[in-house]
Amino acid sequence: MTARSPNPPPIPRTWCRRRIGLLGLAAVALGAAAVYLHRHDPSVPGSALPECLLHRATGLYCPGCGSTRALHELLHGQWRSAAGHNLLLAAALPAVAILLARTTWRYARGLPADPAPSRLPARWLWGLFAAVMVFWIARNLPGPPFSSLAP
Amino acid sequence: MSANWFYAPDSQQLGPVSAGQLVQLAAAGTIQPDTLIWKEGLANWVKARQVLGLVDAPAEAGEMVDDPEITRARQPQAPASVQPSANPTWPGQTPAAPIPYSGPQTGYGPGSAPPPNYLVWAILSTIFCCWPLGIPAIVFAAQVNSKFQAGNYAEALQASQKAKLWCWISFGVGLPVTILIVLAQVAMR
Repeated sequence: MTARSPNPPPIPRTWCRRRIGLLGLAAVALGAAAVYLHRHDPSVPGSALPECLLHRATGLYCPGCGSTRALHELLHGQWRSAAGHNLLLAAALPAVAILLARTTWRYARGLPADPAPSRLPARWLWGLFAAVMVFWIARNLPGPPFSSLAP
Repeated sequence: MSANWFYAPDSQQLGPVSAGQLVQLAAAGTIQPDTLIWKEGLANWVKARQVLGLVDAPAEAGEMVDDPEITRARQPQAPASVQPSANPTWPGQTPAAPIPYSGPQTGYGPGSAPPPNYLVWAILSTIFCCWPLGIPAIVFAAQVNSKFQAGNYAEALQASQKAKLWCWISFGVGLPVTILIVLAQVAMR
């Protein structure tokens, strides 16, 4: 006997109430953080906004240095200024936003992890890794072409 | 036991598989408590948690499915040589949708979804944790894709677990330390 089953009914779409509650909490926390960051400039001396741990410990810039300042500028619509603080963040933000939206959607729907990032060509991800490393080294080098990458 | 169960882990209908395979998929984590499953005779898809004994999760109010096939397949599996009723293959029966199954710790095989590579969290922790610990997570994310696309599921899964670990380290160490420093700064004013 070959399994000749009738066609299943269409898959219903469901929402997970508990997960949506958690997402709501996360949205409130993110919103509060965004309002605070919009009103407070991290580059003002004495700002309560945190300094990079690596920079604090070693004086070196990490690939994430300047991201708080960049976000502050972005919240004021200043893309150019944001890219000046952290080029990597400004360049990666659109792609990250899309992936994060997909992840959030799938989480709310109770779906397993997004398979799309795992299906990206491996070369792209190695390219991203190389870009992060080059960015990290370059922004710590002295001199005009590199110093513009520093936060 | 015929292959008459369908499951939809990804809003995408898969199967049919036998009850034994369904139990294995649940043990492997491919079928989660909220994964929808269906067999002939059910009016509609039900969550795996609504099927008695399939997943270790509390059921919700509403219809429960008590399926004797599942109960039988849940019995401890004997070695293949003396395999009793757990997952018999009858002569002439070809499994309709063979599920590659390489052990209880994996849930992945050819044709199944790739292991998650946690790329979003790797990038976010690299950019926002102010802590270059997100970089190993990016490396392992890239390894997940390399290995999966080369057809090496076991190693892709290992890389996936390492990517997850590094995302946790990056967020779990970076965020609390940052918060402590902020609190200390505020307190010292």
